[in-house]
Amino acid sequence: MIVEDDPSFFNRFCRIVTSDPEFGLFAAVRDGASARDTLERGAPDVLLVDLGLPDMSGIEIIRETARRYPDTDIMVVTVFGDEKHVLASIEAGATGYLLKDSLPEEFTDLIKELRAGGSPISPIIARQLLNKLRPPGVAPNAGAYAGSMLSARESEILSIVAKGFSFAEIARLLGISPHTVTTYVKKIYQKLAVHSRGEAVYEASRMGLIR
Amino acid sequence: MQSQATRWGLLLLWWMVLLPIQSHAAGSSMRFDAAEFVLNDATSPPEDTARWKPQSLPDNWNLARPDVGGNGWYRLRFELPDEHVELHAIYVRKLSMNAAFYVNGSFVGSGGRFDDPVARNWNRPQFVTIPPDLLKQGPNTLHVRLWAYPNSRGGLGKIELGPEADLRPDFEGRHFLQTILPQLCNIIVAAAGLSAFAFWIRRRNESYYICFFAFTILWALRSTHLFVRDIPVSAFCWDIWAQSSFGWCALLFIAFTMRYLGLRSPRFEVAMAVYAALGPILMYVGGPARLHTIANNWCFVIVPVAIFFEGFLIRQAWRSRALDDALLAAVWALVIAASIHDGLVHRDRLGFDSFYLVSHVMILLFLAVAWHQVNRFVRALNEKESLNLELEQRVAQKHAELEHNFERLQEMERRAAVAEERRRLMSEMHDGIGSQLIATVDLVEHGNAERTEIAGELREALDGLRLTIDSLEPTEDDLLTVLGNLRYRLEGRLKRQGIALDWQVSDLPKLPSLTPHNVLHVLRILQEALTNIAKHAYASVVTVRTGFTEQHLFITITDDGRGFAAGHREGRGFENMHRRAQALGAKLAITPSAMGTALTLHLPRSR
Repeated sequence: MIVEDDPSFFNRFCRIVTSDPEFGLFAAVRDGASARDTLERGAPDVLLVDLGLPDMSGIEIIRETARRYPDTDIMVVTVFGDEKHVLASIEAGATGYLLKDSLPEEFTDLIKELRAGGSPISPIIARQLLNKLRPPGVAPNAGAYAGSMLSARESEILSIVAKGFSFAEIARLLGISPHTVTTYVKKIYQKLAVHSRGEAVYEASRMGLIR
Repeated sequence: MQSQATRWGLLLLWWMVLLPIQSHAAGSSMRFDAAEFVLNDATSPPEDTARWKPQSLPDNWNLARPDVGGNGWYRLRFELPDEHVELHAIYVRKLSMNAAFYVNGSFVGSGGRFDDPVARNWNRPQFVTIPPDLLKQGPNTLHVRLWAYPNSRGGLGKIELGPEADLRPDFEGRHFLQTILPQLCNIIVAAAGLSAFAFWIRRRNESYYICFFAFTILWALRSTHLFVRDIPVSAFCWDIWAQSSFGWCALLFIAFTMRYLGLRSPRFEVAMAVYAALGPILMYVGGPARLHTIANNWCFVIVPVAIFFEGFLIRQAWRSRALDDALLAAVWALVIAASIHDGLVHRDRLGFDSFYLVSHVMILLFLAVAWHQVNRFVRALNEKESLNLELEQRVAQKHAELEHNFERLQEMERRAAVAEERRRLMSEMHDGIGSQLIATVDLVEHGNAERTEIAGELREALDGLRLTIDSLEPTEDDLLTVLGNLRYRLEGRLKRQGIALDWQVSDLPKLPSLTPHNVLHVLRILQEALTNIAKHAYASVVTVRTGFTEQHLFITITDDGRGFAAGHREGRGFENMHRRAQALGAKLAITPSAMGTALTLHLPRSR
């Protein structure tokens, strides 16, 4: 399912998805309201969503979909893949992101990878995740991760990613398959989403919104 | 305080002026202004055969027998009417120094001892009741034994004899005024002095409080001579003390007040101290017979000083227009008037039974000074309160100003940061992406470029844009993250051109100078290098290495191709790379070799 308001990107994405025999287009809509209506009727396997919709933020759609259909893989489609937008999407429940100018095969490869349980990540985002999911006061290079939300392996992977190593190199370094590395990343994304929800609940109860 | 002082003043005036005038309550008492006198050392009434001579009363020895002192006898004869049932008494308003009374030869009373030091009754009216059985119908005789010191207003005043009830009120009034009142005043003065002393203990730097204390204590001690009858030292010594201490009090008061009003003249103070010391020395040298004359003259010299001081007080009151200053001047004027009066009494220019006034006026002076001090204290308290209030307001005002300034500063800083960011982005758009887009437009319009070539150019521009955005992300001063992101952005394109990246990086120390601005310079230099390799070097592997020394972090990019630098050294790209390296304070070294080219960027660890 595709949610994109810009006509040329809308056409481009539709074209890429439909041209791959492995994919079937569940739905393609141009605004948030239509996306909601469509999602009322059923769950897509993969949701490609643009953040800048005319009637609402794509983040809303991501949040609702993630809550409603946990098995749906959500990908944000951005122009720049910048940390601010991507992290916000991941916190809302997305587990992947695509650059709008990606080549068709990159595009479909990433969707397939995501479907298989792996997520992409950039070094800057890895660095940010390390800071967010690690309790304050623990140095980035510290060996012990007591109290951290991350397992030792997850933390290790994130810090290697932050140094610019590719999934293949990490896999070689750690003696695992590249795909396993991407599944770690996806798990970390999910932890961040849970962590953010927890923080939101904590904030809400602190402000007296929830009892 | 003011009305109280006024009331006290009026009360005292009434005591001083009115009481002495309303003498002689009407009655049947007799008043004697004539007697007989004989100079005789006898301790009991001399015989009628002695050389009695008529003598009018009051008999002032200073005038009647100068330089003579000692024992003398007076004899009075009087007739009593048929029936005198009432108790009778003898009343003498003024005598000096001591007297004993005998009625019809029998002793009826005295003022005290007659041996040196003789009991001091010079300021005590004498009142003696007569046992009823001593008085006879018809003629009676009264003998009075008198002791006088030479030249010291010794003598006997008029004698009154009559019913005790008639005479007593006048005696009581005079006794209170001359003997009791000075005692009461002494207590008040000493209390005021002690409170000043307590104040001085806490505030040692305010010397006028200790001056005031010394003044009060000296005055209180001195004033005892008005009512002490039996003295512990010889009459001569006592007189020297009594006479000179009066001058001392006057001088000390002048010094004290001048200090109090902030007008301190050390030379004047020394002169006064010398003069004060001179008094008792002269009196001692002069001896008992001349003591009073010397004392009189010595004190009299102080009068002009006091008058001069009065002028000073009046000027002060005129300038300050303060009521308490005016009061001080007025009371000092009274003191001078009283002193002149006392001087006249002393020189026998007034009635023998006139008494000294200055002691009574003095209490007003103390009250005026005390009031002055209370006013001063109250003023200081008020000032402190208003000062506190003002201070609070000023602190609040300053606080508001500071807050305002801080806000303005913050606003200015924010604006400066925004302006700097805008300048940076503008220059980036201008030199980087803008130029690249123009070049691409040119390629499309004039060239016969392939579509893939144009797409490549455009993607390069897009990468530049992404790098610009990436440079704004937090990097925690970690150069590796910056490099990693560059790889993440560019690797796809290199791979499509068949170039593999060999990522040989190792952990680097933090680089605090890694601001967004500098990050972008590094990214752009490396992007330029990698793009050149992709375009021109025909390389298959690009190796990225990092390392560090004491002073530098370095990044080396090596390719195994023809060398990206070949034939392009003068290009726009190279110029930009060097310009950016310069802006970083970094060293950019490009070393071509047969095996390819190595580009090394040395970044200083601290700037």
